[in-house]
Amino acid sequence: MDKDEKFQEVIGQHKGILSKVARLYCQTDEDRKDLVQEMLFQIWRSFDKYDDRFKYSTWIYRIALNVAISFYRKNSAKKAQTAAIEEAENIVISVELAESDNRLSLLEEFIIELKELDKALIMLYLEEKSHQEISEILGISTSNVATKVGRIKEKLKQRFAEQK
Amino acid sequence: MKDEELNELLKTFDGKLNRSLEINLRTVNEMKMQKSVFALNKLRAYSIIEIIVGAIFIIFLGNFIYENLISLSLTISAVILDIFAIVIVAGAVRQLILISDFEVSSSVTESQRILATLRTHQITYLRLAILQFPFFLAYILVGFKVFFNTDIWQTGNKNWIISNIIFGIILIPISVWIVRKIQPANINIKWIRTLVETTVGKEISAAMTFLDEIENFKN
Repeated sequence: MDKDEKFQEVIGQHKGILSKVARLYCQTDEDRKDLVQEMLFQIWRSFDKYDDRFKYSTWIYRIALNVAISFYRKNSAKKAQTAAIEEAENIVISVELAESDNRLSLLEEFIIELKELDKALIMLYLEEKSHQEISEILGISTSNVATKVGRIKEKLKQRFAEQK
Repeated sequence: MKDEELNELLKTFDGKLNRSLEINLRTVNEMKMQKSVFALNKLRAYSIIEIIVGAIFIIFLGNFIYENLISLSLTISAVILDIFAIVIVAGAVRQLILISDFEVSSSVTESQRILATLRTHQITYLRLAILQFPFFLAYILVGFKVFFNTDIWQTGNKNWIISNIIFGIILIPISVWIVRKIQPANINIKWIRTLVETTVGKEISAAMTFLDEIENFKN
């Protein structure tokens, strides 16, 4: 199997990771598409250097999150310019969601507000990754993973309490 | 809100995130044309320019020292300036090493730390500029010799020279204190943030804040 075929196979098996990270870090479809293309590009570039000590999913999560955080930070200026448009879109979305589940829209808002690294951690937690794998992806100790997840959940509960 | 309620909401949110996006695999050639968010080439070019300009300055000062060995004041002044130039070149070399070592598949905190460190490189200039304040007399001495071929240590007013030396000595602890304060951990102190933002820019201040966040996240 040549590199192209192997790349396509690996991406085919793990494209859910790319979608999920893009959904969490970008608010518009256009940004999501750009981000996914950038992730694919970086995975392709690093493909020959794949470190087989890690599972493909761990390796792809590392690249996807690194690209997403950098993309998010690089686009912060552009984001400020489009903030007004997004705000208008959010009003429409939140009115729609208020009818279905207001608490879910609030949770989404609180998670989007989290700092980039906290956001990555909560996403991996939702994926039910082991503390070992989360620590390998993020580069923090396993004991720290549990502490931080607990703190983020407390923060989310606190934000809900403030809304009451 | 109870733990179970939050967990239930998180699960629903996770389901929402799991809706897959349409992913088109571009051809390799198309991907090669793509502009990357990790465009480190510009930083690499700046570092190379820094090394070249710094090396020229070091050689020039080395030659100046050799030609003025008989004047202790000029020699000491040029050595001080040379030390600062060497520090700048060493910083640029370190920057090049960080760029070549950067690996996008490293752990998230490690990759982001390297990127933020690369982006805060201009802080080195601010720190060095502040550290050089106490040695302003060295610039005056070398400058007068280079541009006017005058050794003002010999020809200048002694009281003026002595008062400048004393003023420089008083500035040393102040400069060192300020430089030690310019750390990512202190970026939320108002005067440090203002100093950084007005001298090297808001981008650098944001990168320092992020470096601080990474350190806090790791601990």
